[in-house]
Amino acid sequence: MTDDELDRLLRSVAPPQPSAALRAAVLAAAPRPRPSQPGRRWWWATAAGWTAAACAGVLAGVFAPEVATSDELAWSDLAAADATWTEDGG
Amino acid sequence: MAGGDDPDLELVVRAGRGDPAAVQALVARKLPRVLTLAARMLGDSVEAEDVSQEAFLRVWRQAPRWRSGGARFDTWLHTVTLNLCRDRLRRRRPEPLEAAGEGALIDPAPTADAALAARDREAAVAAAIAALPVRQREALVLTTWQGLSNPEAAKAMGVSVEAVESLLARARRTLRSRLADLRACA
Repeated sequence: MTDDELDRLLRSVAPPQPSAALRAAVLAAAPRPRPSQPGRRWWWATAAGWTAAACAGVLAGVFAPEVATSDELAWSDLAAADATWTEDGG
Repeated sequence: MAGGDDPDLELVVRAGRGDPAAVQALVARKLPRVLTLAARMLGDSVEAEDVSQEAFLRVWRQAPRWRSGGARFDTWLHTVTLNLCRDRLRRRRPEPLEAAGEGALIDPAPTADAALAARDREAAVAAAIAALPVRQREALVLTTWQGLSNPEAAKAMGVSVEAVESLLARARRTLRSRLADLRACA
């Protein structure tokens, strides 16, 4: 038997075809599309919101003493003015 | 071979993301090849279907993480399928990977009439292939029916190209001798 004859003989054997059941079983185990894109966006929006709120809180905490100082200054100015008025008018 | 040359890369990546069209296309393209390899290696259609299913479970597990740059997907899939077949063959009966085999002749054609029938011819060829030592069978199946080049077959089998050439030469010599009676029908 020559090489060509052997090749012809081997190639004459039909390859098996996957059954419908096998194809279905393989497809059933395949990865599914990830449906969580909107949910994920919602999660990110919520997380960003909370982060922004936390940052605002921190900033308020940092700058709050300066605001209080300004108020105190305003009150002290008012007190000074009042004292001046008392000295002038009283 | 670089992953950039991989014709299956895009399909595998899309299938890994769960793209239904890519999943369908990948199954249509690869399942018959996996089944053919398993059937030729195991000589048992039920076991071949089991192996094909297991191979695809590994594909689905790997696909979401598949990256270019490694082995070609087709080579990797052949290696996975071969390993599953080897596991089955090892469990089935003690079968040497390489030695023996060539002396263990089978009767490829019980009668001249049977040899004339295509079904019997296929059975005779299948029996002759099944009687080959595992490594010779792997080399023959990968290059004859799976269409792999010798270097690709060597990669899938994890051996050198020279080893594949030697295995093929011995497999073909054995088959020529065993199937000589079928020559007239080929």
